Amino acid sequence: MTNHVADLANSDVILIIGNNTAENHPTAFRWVIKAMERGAKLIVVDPRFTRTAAVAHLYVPIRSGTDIAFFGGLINYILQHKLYQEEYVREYTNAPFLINPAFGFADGLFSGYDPVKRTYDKSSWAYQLDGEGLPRRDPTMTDPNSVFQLLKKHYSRYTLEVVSAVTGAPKGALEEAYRIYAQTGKPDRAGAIIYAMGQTQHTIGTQNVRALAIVQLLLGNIGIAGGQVAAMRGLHNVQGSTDLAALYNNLPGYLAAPTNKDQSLTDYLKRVTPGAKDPKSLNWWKNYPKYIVSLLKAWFGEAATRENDFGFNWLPKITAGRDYSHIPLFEAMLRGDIKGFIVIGQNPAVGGPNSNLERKALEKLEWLVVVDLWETETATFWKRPGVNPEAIKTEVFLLPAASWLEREGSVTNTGRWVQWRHKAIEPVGDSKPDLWITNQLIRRVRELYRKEGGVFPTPILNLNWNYGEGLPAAQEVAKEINGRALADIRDAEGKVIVEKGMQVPGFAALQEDGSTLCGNWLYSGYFTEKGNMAARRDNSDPTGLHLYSNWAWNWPVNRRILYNRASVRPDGTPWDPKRAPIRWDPEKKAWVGDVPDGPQPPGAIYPFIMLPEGVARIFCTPLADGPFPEHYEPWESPVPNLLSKQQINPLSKIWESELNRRGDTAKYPIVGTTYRLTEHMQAGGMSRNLPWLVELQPEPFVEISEELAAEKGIKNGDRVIVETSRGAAEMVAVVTKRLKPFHVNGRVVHQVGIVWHWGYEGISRGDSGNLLTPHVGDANTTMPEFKAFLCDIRKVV
Amino acid sequence: MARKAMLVDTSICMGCKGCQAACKEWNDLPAVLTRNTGSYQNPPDLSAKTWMTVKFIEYEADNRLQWLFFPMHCMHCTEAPCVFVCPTGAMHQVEGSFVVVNTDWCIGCRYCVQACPYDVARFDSDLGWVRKCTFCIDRVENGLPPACVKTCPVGAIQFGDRDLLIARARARVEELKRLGHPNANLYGETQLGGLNVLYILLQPPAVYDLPEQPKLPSRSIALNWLSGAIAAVVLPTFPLWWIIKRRMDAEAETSSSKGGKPV
Amino acid sequence: MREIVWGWPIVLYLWVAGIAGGAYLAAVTVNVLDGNRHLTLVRVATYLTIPLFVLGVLILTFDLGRPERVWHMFVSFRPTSPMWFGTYFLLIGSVVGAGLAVRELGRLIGIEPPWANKVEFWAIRLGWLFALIVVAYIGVVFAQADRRLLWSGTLLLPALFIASSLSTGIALLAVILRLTKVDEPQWVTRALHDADVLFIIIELGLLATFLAWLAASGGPVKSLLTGTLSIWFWVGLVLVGLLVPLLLELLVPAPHPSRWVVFVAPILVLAGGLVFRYVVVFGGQM
Repeated sequence: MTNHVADLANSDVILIIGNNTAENHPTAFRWVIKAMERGAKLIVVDPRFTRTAAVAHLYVPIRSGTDIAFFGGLINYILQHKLYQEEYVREYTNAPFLINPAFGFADGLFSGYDPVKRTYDKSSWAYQLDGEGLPRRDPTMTDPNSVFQLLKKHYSRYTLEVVSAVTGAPKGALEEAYRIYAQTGKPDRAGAIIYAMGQTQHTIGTQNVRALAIVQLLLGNIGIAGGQVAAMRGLHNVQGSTDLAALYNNLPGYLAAPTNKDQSLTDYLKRVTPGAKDPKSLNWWKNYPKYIVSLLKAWFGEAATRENDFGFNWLPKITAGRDYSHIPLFEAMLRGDIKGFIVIGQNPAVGGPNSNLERKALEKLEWLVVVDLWETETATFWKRPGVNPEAIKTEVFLLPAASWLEREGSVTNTGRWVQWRHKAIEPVGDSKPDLWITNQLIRRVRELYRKEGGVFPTPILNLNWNYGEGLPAAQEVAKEINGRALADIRDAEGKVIVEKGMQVPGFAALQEDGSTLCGNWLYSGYFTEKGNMAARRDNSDPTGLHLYSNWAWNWPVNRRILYNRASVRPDGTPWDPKRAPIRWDPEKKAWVGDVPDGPQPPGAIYPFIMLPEGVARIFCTPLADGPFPEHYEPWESPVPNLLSKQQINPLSKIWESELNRRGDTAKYPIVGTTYRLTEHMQAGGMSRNLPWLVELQPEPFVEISEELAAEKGIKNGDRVIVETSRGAAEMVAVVTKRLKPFHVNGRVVHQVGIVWHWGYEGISRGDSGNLLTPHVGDANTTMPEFKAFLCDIRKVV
Repeated sequence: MARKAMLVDTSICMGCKGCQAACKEWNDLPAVLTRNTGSYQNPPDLSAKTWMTVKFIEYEADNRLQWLFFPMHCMHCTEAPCVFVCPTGAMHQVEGSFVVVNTDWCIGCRYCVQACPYDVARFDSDLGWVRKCTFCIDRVENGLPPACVKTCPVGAIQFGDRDLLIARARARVEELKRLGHPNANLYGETQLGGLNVLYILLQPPAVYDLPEQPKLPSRSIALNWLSGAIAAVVLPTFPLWWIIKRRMDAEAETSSSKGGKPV
Repeated sequence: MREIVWGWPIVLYLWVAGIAGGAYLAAVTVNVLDGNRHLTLVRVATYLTIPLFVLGVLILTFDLGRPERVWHMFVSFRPTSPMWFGTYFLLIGSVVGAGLAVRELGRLIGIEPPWANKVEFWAIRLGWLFALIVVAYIGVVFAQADRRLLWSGTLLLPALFIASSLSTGIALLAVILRLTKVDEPQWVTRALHDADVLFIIIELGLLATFLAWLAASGGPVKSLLTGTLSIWFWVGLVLVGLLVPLLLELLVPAPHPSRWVVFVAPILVLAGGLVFRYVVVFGGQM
């Protein structure tokens, strides 16, 4: 989230799309309720009338996979009715920037598309540059090559008629939603858009999020209290996981993972460190060298010196341009390329797309280690229903893990708040905390390398790994993540700001000469000399803006509202004086309120400090599939794309095979989507083993409309089979008024929804929803398209 | 001391069932085996082992669909029919608010189960007595809110002084009417002497399967005894006497006509 | 179908207690009307009534979730509860019944103190009163369950129970009289069969009124007339339990030359009484 959960209480309008907040984030939802108690309006956009829609003011039904059509219509509405916050758009976004006149869009494709390579040559997407190498701007935003005019032109195609025809949403509801939300374009009105997997789990997922980001920028909703792009992450600590590099293309702190093309640290830094010529652009990523070097010092300690590039070449390097994410990983596993697999607190046999394929892939492993609290479906894939265990050669280890109640550590929520958790009870039986398990693994592997040598022992043997023999102290790890001075750190005047051996107060003290170590620059400041900031529990709120700045600690540097310099005009006056997160005090010559994005006085720097332009990107070139979001149909869709001739995202990642076939509309005419329930947790290990939760939702089900049920002769409570080209799942049919058939361009399209928590283990067993989903992914992230596919449904006789 | 009560604002309830789970946990009630019969509502009904369940009601009217959530447990009536009919006094009222079963004293006659207008009290066939929501009396008497109140993430269930809650509820009902819920109403203010669990409803009580105005037991009891007394006086006397006497007299006549000796 | 909380034990209690009470009421009525000359009849009734009554009380006690706690009712003061009153009624009724049983025992083994007859005289009349109270109060108990509209939707439930108790009690008395061949004049048998007819008619009338009243108060009349219980209601109760015996009694009046008719009608009435109570108890909870 660009702000945080409690900040939702400040919003005047909250739009929830591709997320079921009340269902999956009930505790966070109280802040939405608090906003509503102040008079805020809640709009829910979803194929299904959910538990969130039940308490909303307005519900807009849209067919799965048509979110860009919805947002395109909203962008068009905002532009046509001139409801954008003009000064904000002009000053703080790249709307006035001029683009290469060769840029174009036709027939669903942007300029520069290579149909053979299936990529874009983006040279026509570049900014026009002036003599100093700075982007050319038109402050009037009337130049036809300005981003603003290009935006207007692109979304002029998303009229209410077209959007209604594509999404199946009634025009009246669309217009009402647009009207209400666009009101937040006023400077004293704040709007938040809450989204989650319903947006990201599509072949156009990244562009879905881009679309809502554009809406927020047009309405001036970023950087202010109550205005945010509110990603609701799917678990209590997935933010923490990705912060600390759970993704293959990251190092901790979202530093880029090195590739085979980075033969030296210098090569790497040259590739990743952005340059900015504009003196008003803070371009914070220019500090890359400090962060990567400090990270290397944390990992390799004394062994990392300037001479050996601080051990840069000891890091594993991915092949440039290759995709190592979940889907290709399992595809490689299926081919037999992966020998061993360690799965920690994850259950891909249930949670991964195309369960049949992924379970089969696991059979090809030589060994598998599962670290979990329960014997999950992944741990028992080798004896799952329908397979002969004798035929499977994988050696499987199950290491019992301790739960979060049985160990100490920090957890980072979706609002970037790092909150310390204390241990409540001793672990049950032989179960051990992950820290202990990891420590044992590394220690023993290292010992083996020491004794037996090996192919490339240097990185392992040079690891700065001294956490003792037993359970590492979480605080020690936390301190290392925060960062420490390895020599006296002096400021520009030579004054010592951090003594040798002391914790650094924040990432501003990190150095690129190897005199600091830091496990994650983003977390620098969370465990300082003052102590464990994440353990603070002061819930006072002096600004009344729900900042709670002394409760726990959030990254970066406890700044609760990101880009908060955008909450004031260039002259420093807040857009909304009643709700200003930061305020310039001319006497103190400092900002008061939230931690500002830099102490510089008003107007000295641009507010979007993480981008080299310094202003937010309405037009965004680094994405693979286009600088503007464009609606494409999902890989499996019952209708042709009404917006252009290009049916699906031209850059969507597809692995078509025997086990991953594309279904055709004739056989599978119904749109299917998947989702979660309040009562269960993800792949079900945590919840389907607890009787009190099983009691609440005992069996997997599919929700179908009354109309579809009548067509198929299905009664409420009947058992049915849902089938796609990839598999079939037996479910209970919940016949409901909350799903209605969509009228898509005159045709009736039925939609059903499947819960996916179930598997063949646990107290409550059932078929996995992911038996149905495909191995296709987003063009940028390869996020699987769980949320829109084609299926059919029939009663079990 | 001011009477305590609970107020459930169903307009912000999101049906998360946190209250259900908390109730089970606090009262150490076992999970029951359930099936999905085509509804989110589970367990489908209250029972001796389930003292709280959230009702899920899909209601469509005037072109508008609503999914109404109703966290259901004992209403803790002021003039509680269950207390009224209990032959041992096991079902009793505490501090004028909370209706609690003394499970050491209950004999398991199940009269309360029959008498409750909300079908709340249930018989535990394993233990032999009746069980139901206790208003978390063990928590309340120690200065803590009931488990369901404590757990509710959005504060839909509130606990406190009854008069204050009613004032708050009335204001909220007016607000809901302004926000486009013309049928919003407060349930529990007057029913059965006043319920100590009050509900802000979005639709009339009948939509939630709630009786509009359940009969006051004190009123019905008088009529029932009266009807019983009248029937008892009338039926075994006049008809029976008449029919026997009729035959008796006829016999006396024939015997007298025959010579006096009864056959 | 909803959970049935008061099931077969309660149905059986109602039947058994109703028969016991009705038989005793009928016998004592004959005796009182005809100048105390039918002590034999009363005695026969006593032999029926007391065991049935004891059976009924045992059924009730063991139907409790905690039978060993039955004494809780006696040490509590609960005047709002018709069931509490009922417990005391049953208690006093038991005492009176015990007294009559002791008197009978004494007669059988030859211990007859001089005051025995005097006490018996008053005990019989007291027995009549408590037999009446026992068959009457139970209707009040059921009627107080306001949510069970079949029971509380009219004010006629006590009347129905009383009429049915009398009907079944008279029926059993008639059968036993015939079987035991006690020395009672024939007109008594005829009177009992007349009463049988009268009370079937009264029951039919009450039933019709009850259904009309129930429909008017929005009660579950449909479930009785056309729903799951309709077969029991129409065939079991109305036809077999009321109309057929009525017809038999009218067409073949007592004393009958053929033995089987004498028994058939009362036995059908007894069965009908059981069906009636099943329909009311179960139907009220569906």
